[in-house]
Amino acid sequence: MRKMALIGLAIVILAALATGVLTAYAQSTSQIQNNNSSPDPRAGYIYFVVYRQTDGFIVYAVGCSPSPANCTPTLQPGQSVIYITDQPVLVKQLFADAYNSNLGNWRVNLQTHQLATTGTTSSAFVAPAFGVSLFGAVLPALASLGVATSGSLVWRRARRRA
Amino acid sequence: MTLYDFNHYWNICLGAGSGYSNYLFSNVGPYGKTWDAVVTFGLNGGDNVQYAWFEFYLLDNQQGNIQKGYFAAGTQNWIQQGKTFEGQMTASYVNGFSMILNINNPDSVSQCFNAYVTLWYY
Repeated sequence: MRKMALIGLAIVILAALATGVLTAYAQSTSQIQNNNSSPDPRAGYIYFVVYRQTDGFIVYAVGCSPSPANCTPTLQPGQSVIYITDQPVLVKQLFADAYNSNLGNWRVNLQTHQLATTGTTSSAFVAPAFGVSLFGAVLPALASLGVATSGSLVWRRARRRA
Repeated sequence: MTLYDFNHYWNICLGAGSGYSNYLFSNVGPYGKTWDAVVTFGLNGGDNVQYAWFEFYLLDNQQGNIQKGYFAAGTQNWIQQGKTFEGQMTASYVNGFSMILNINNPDSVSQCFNAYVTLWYY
């Protein structure tokens, strides 16, 4: 009886681990496919966004490798520029959206002079490639271990009392 | 002939109904040389085809910024995904090398474009 219970618990733990790992793998694989759509930010590149001063509409966004090239925009009347090179997560999200024809999801907030998205971004959350996510695998496994441990203790106590 | 810059890359994303006009190079390199530029241009993601227009041109700020070289799609074009426009321009300079790229995206959605430039001088 005890053997059967332990085998059952082991099966539950393995199933939880397998489900979690497979889920995390599937998520990371799909994120890798999305990330391949736009390799930005690229090392050493300068990123900037030119927008309309009247409504924050983004006229264009550029990734540019400096020297000897020119990475300073020539602004037309009514335009301003924001450099975002030091915000790699923002660069990634903005250019992923732009790659998918969704640059229109972004605006410059004229109060804060910061970029803001008005829709769902293409890469809202980026997990490490092939990483095992906390919610996908570790927590189910820990929960299963907890159930197994407490189940075993209850079984032992019941057996001692008997 | 000296290679000055190889396959220099720009990722340029235009908003809907927007235009881009900038110096890719501004009075760079040694003065008094003849420059040979190879440029390529195409879509980067987005639609399978995009109605757009582009032009590269060369100018020398010591020669009144007159147009010394030109490569363009001519008029508005349906640019297909995967198609790359490639052109070559040669011009003699008094000062350093300058090149401007203009792009127009009259479409109702945004679009990214790839631009590459390779430069030699002699």
